[in-house]
Amino acid sequence: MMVQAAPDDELAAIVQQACTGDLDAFSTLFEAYNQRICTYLARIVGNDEEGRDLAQETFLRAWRMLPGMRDPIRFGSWLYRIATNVALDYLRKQKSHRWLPWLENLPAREQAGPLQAGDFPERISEAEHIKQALACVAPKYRACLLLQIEGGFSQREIATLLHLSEKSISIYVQRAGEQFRQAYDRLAPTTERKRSQ
Amino acid sequence: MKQATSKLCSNQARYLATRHPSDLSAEEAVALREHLQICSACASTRETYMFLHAALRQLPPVAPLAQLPAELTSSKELSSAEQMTSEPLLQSDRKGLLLSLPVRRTHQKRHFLAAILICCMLLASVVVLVSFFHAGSPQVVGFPRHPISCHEETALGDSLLVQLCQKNQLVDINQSQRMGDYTIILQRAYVDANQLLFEYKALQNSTGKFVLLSLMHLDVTLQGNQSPIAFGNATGTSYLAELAFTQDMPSMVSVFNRGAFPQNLRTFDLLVTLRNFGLGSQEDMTHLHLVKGTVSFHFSLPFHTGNILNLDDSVKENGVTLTLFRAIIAPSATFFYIRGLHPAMLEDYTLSLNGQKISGSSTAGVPDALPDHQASYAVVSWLSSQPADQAGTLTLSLHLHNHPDTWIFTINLL
Repeated sequence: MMVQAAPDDELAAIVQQACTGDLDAFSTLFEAYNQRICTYLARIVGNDEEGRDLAQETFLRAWRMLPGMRDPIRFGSWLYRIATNVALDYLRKQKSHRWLPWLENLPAREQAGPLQAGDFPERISEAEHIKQALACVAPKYRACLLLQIEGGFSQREIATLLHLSEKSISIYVQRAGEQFRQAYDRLAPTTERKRSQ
Repeated sequence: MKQATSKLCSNQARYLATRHPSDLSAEEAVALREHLQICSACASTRETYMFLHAALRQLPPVAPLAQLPAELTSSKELSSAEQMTSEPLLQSDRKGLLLSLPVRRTHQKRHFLAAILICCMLLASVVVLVSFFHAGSPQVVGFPRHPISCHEETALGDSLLVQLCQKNQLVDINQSQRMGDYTIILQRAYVDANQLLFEYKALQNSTGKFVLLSLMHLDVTLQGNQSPIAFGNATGTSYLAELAFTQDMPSMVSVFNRGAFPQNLRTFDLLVTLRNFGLGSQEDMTHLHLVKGTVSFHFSLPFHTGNILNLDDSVKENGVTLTLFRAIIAPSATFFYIRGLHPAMLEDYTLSLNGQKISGSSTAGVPDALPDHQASYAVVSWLSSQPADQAGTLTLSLHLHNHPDTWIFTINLL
């Protein structure tokens, strides 16, 4: 059953059923949003597998928080807000906890001098190129951008969802675009060099 | 003419990255279209956004989850089994039966099997916690942040650091040390009872340009003390990308061992040693030199103490005892040290001062690997309004996964 195509009252009825603890109703919502939430989260964190793990966390949190949900018609944006919080928490913890053992991983580099483009992973596909460029966009800008493009939300909806002003969302999306374009251009020569090899 | 164009651009700028039909009224859409025909700068920005949109849309979709999370399907099976062996359940009964559906501040009887499952989860959490501490986790949690620009729009979680900057609490150090072709400059620093904060950058002497700097190792010694009060290793490469595009220089915040110095200290006399760097051009972050070497900086900092409270306050709810054994309320952050709590158990928390919820909070949980805090968990909050230097009752309310109860700790600030 495709809930996103369902009329508002039908969606609201399913959400209300889920709110009462009806797991079958929640399964219907899960099926409707599963792919979109997985894609959204994978794009934010830059890794499909981690995106799916975070999607699990998102649906679990959604299930637990359902009794407190006020407006069933806004289930979609509510779910995306949870997903965004899960993703930003994850990225923050990554910043706090990830220690990269460069010296252990790259023992020969210190003698070898500067790293060259050729030292980096093999041929980069266009999709990989886009993903790498997206990963260079600051997380909060990335979230706004992906809510707009992947989530299909208007800037007003994103503003409500993230508790920010509409003007901020507009600025963040623009900055995301600028950062993405710079990263894309910057990474392009590497890609091109690899393609020509 | 130029002025007119600039004015028009500022009016149109917010529409350039719109996509959704409801983002623009019909009149606004027409105005934008007309503007794009006469303003090449805005047309280029719009084109960038359209390119980005197209690029992202062409990415292949991500494979979805195969099924609902296991925790939910197991409760679904439980629910089905119950229905097969007994009379049909009322909705209210079903609510009580389902494992993961909390109703806050109520004390419904739980199903026996659900209780066993919760015990298993708690046991698993303990095993994970024990294995974590035995696995040699980093001794100090240190992490890079945006350098502090008083005018910069804040990154998530960094608002307090910007406030520190605006209150002139960062001390200008401006010391530099040469290392080969590079000059490492320690610009500003700050210390309170929770955090040490350094801002440093690297200048390539041959080009006269600032370069990206990724620190490999950091030692901070308090003069007169034998052991370092903070030490860490590298900042992440992923962060370099962010730095590169904001044209900023790295800075570092270190959570450090508060037990290593006397609490009545008013000035920190510090020796900071930075070892081994990743240095590279801001234009191309893929070309990084790994440079081995050491630079040291010796300087003094005023110590913004904050409140360091040893509490040992235990709260038992539903068989789970949490002990708030220390709270450190400093200008840069508020840390709560809690025994009996693992990061995976914490669902959320709220903090209020005199009954007023402290808003704009951003939270991060870090395992506190310091020797005197083993088997504990620090709830760390960087808030838009820190309770430091305020009087009243500070209340910390914790909600754990799969628990309907609330663990409430109150602290009287004098």
